[in-house]
This record gives sequence, structure tokens and C-alpha cells, in this order.
Amino acid sequence: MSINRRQFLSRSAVAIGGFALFSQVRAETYLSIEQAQQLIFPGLNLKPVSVTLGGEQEKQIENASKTTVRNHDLNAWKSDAGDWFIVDQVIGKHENIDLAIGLNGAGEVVGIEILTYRETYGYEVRNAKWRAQFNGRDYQQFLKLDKQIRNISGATLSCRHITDGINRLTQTWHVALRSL
Amino acid sequence: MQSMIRRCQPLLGTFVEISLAGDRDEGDLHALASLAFSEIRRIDAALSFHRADSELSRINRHALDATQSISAAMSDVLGEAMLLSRESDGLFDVTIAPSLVRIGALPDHGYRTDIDACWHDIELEHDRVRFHRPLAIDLGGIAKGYAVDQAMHVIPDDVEVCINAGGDLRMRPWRHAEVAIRLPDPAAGAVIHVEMRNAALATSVGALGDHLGAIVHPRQGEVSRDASSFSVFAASAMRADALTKIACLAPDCAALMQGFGAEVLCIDAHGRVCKFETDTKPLQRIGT
Repeated sequence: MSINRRQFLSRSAVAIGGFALFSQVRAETYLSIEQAQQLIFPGLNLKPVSVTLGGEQEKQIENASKTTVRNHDLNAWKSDAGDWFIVDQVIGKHENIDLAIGLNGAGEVVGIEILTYRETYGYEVRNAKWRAQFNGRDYQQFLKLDKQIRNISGATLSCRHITDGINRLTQTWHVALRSL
Repeated sequence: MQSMIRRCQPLLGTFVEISLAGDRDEGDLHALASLAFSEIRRIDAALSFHRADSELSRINRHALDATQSISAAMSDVLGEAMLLSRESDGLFDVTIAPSLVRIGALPDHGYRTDIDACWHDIELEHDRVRFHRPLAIDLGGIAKGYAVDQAMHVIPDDVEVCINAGGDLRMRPWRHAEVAIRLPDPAAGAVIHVEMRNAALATSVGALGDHLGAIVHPRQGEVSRDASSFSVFAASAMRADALTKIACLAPDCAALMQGFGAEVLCIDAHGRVCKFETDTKPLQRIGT
């Protein structure tokens, strides 16, 4: 399990690397993979299963879910009863989210937990015009990655990308996991 | 043993975050958070416009032809909605759904609707509802807050709690707690810090941006273009949620807000706090 986790985290690092020019506004870690497993499948013995999607399978998943498959290797665990636990990444326009999903033997979603949430706004931060609005004040102060910010109110953020990601994973079960 | 947990699930079309702290072990707190998430799922399943199988969809389909019996949750939310419609002279109006369908903010379920129908055409008794004209109800401006309120009730009093449904938040205890409010343009990412002034806080931005939904003026049928954000502090999340919609449409609504025991904070596109309706102490702005 620990190897799987390291692999996953290093993959996350690559994905974040793509946003290197962007400044991060907020990063929040809610649960570890092990905690999410315990919450979605309490007391269940989950074993890591190595699953690599083939090109044809990916095409099927993409057609059925109308989303793009980014990771060819799944971070998947299976119980003796045929439940699946998958950790996956959803990259939206402004967010980069690790989520855990539990599917029962019929492929139905039995639990979803966000593991980490990173907001990756930033283009506007580098935009000189936008910065000028602060009249020479240190804009970094406005945008500090504030660990103390525990609760934020504002225009509601959509979780549409998560919904798309969940569709992709339930289709992945249909195409690749059901028969395993 | 003092523990603290934070959880987040995608619900109500947004990210719902539950933070709990108390003299319990972590497992207990996680069980309480799971219970609160279940309560939010239950309310979402009843009040959702999007889901064709929700209680609201049943009402939208059939309440013109026959009186529909409704759940306690539906009765609570419709009752509050009707009160707000009356007090705001129709600025808050849940029959706005057809306009939101037209601009693509809501899915089209093919309901027959009359352009002149409004909240007056809803007849609500405490456990029954009937439409007197073809209309469709959307509770998007109030249901998130209600879900937060109901989820708060499942958490015992000895546990400190904050439930934040994509910006509609309520906490206990709330005095001296600090919260952050985003600048109106969510892409800017910046926040200002303020002290809580009541148990609940909700924020809406008038202009259509990179966020959920839109606020449509019930009488003019136009999407609000105001780039300012309006945050409302109130005793319940349902009231705060609904009152932000009125604040966006009628920034001069001081008397109405006072009547509901609410306070409004307006933030312009540059992060300036441009208005604060209160007859008590001035806003205390913390940090930047």
C-alpha cells in the first residue's frame, strides 16, 4: 500500500509541476488514503490491485463519460467481496483535487471523500494591471497561502469537474474492473 | 482528549466542508461528520431542481393539476421563501426557475410555465402546496443554507462545528471567529478577513462569472451585472443564503435586513469594503 501511495504522490507532483507558473491560493488536506479507506469501507480488508488501462478501454471510458482519461495506471484497491476503492485526481480550470471513491460489487458509488484540494488561480496575480489595483501595496500579502484561513465565503465554486471525474470512474468500473 | 477533523465532500453542486473539534476521539468526530453529510444528501435529494426524481421535481410536474403533500423540509424552505417574497415585495422569488433555464443555469425538464406567474401563484399550507398558474420552483437561492442548518442540528452541543457549503457557512460557537471572504472575482483568488457577526454567513456575486448560477431580477428578467459581492450575516444559514440574493438586487435594503436581524457587507471588485449596514458597532476588519 505504501508503494502505491508513493507512486500516487509522485504523480501528483508531476501534475502540479504543470502549474508551476501559477501561484497557489489555497491548499487543504482532509484525509490520508488510509483514513478514506476506513471511512468508506470500515473494517474491510482492501488489497492493492495493479490495473493498467488499455487504449481500447480508455476510448470506451472516454466515449461513455465524455471526459479525458489522464492516468493509465489506476490507484485501485479491492475487497474480497468485490468492492473497489480508487484514488484519483481531478484537474479543473482552477483546482487540482485528489479524491477517493468507493464502489460496491454492482459498481454503485457508496462513498466519495476529497483527500486534498488545491486552488491554482494565478494568471491574474501575474497580470500587472490587476496588481496595480493595490497601489504598490505588497500584493503577496493579499494572496499569502494562509494556513490560518479555515473558512472562506464567496461566490460558490462549482464541483462540476468532480462530477465528471466520478462519471469517468464509474465507467472505468464498467469497462475495466467489473470483470477482474 | 481534544481532537479536530476536517472533511470535504462534493454535494449540493459544490464542495461541502465540515470541521469538528471537541473532547472526543477522532473516530467519534468522523462518525458525526458522516451523519451531517448524510443529512445534507437527504435534503439535496428532496430539494434539487436538477434531479428528475426529487420531491421538488414532483411538485414542479404536478402541483398545477393537484394539491401535493410535502415533507417537513420542503415546508420549512417554501415557508421561509414565501415570507421573504412577501417582505421583499417579490425581489426574492423561487418561481424564477424558467429564467434560469433560459440562460442555461438550470436543466430544461420541459415544464409548462407562464411568463407572468410569480410567488403569488403558489398556495402553501403547512404540509401541502398547489400552483394556480403554470410555474416552476427553483430553491437554489435558499436550499444550500437550509441543508447547512439541518446538518448543524445533528452535531451535539459540546462539539465545535463549522459547516461550509461552498461559501454558505454556519458555525458554533461563532463569537470572535475569523472568516475570509473572497474578492468578487473568484479568479483573483484574494480574500479579506473579517470577524463573524452572527452564526451564519453567505456570499453572492451578482455578475455571471466563473462560478455557479446567476441572480436574475424577478421583475426585469435580467441577469444582475453588478460585479460587487454581498455577504450577509444572519442567525441561520438559510436566511443568510436567501438574503444575499435580495442584497445583490437591492443594495438599499437596510430596513429589510434589519427586520430580519441580518447585516450586509459589500465588497467591490477591488476588494474595497464599500458598504456595511448596521446600527451597532462598525465592522472590524482584521489584517489586510
